[in-house]
Amino acid sequence: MQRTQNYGTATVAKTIVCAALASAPVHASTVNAFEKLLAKPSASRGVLGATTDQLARDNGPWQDSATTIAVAITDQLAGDEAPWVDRATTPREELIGELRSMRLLKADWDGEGAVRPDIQSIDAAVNFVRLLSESSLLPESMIHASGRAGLLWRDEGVYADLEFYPGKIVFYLERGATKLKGAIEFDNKSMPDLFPRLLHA
Amino acid sequence: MITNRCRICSRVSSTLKDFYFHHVGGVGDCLGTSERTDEATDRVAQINAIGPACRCELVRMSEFSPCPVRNIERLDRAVFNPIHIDKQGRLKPSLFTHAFAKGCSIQRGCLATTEELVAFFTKMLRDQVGWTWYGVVTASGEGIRAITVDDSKSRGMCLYDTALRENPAHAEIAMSSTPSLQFDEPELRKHLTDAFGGGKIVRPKEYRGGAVLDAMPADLRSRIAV
Repeated sequence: MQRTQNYGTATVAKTIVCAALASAPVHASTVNAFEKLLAKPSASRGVLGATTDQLARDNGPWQDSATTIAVAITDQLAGDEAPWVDRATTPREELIGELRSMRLLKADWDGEGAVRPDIQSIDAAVNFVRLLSESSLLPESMIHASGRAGLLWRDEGVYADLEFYPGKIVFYLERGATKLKGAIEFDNKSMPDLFPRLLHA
Repeated sequence: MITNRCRICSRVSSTLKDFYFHHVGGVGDCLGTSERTDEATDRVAQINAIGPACRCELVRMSEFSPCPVRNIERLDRAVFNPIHIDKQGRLKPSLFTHAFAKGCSIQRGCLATTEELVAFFTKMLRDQVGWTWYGVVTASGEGIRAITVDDSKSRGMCLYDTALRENPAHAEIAMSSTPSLQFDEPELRKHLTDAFGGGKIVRPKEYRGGAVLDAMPADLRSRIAV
């Protein structure tokens, strides 16, 4: 699926934005701004500059990264005829994007008094997904009323529900006749030994 | 038939039970605790403290309730897209996480009128822009009360008749005091999903023969996944 060739402005921007979304905090206004930008195939440095300015006026934790992304796009577009890698967003990137979008939810996001999303918990879930091997089954994302993030597997004979607490993962897992549950430490950097075998990771 | 039997459940009998358990059986002020903790984030823990091991099931938990939830009752939980649904249209177990802290709201099928259900779904859709009503999942009182932890005989979940003035059919699922460790929660979510038909979603056009769907306001029809 992966191809390398020259592409127009929109493709360049999309590639960079996809990469940025998978690694940086993001805000809905940022996404909207880029969506508008991408709707214009002839986007120029002037348009990008305006986007940068608009983003810089926003106040929030996303400001720096959003501005950086916009500047990066502007700079990249300044170089002509550079080869760009164009590829579809991978399922893993989509999953990470889903988890990151949960950060935007406000308190009572479910209309039943749910707690504001726990950013550390969401980040831990994102890091866990990044640590899954290429051959692993990808889970579904969940956000709990507690504000904590969760991951869910329920295909190919595996049921696994993981919830991300500060410094640990609380889990319940069924595979065939095997049932496991408990809490395991997670440092955001290395995959706990328990999971690779059980999740085909 | 069930509706009639449920509605004629004697308030006198419930009051006598309340008196007995308050003053003889050792159950604390379940109704008062329920009312006081309506907005509390540790509501379930406070109710468990006053009535451990689901003992508050034995008394009315709301002045608007005709009687405690019975095993034969049908219990429904509303499902909305996108928060409760995965990409393949399957129910996410996170639908039940409220059961561990604030109580997981459900509707008692035998008590809820079509008008009350229409009012409930209308309010949810008007409050939550971007949601669609995807359906309901259904369980029996008996099925929820049969949930245990670690294949033990200890009850995992309780059912309380927490009726509201504007929604007399309102009830709640709450974790019992028995599962005291956090790592019981993912297991209980699985058991709750199983109790609710394995997560089988009854779509709005099938729910109550489509009566609720038919009575929903016209401007919300586009936000109902028939």
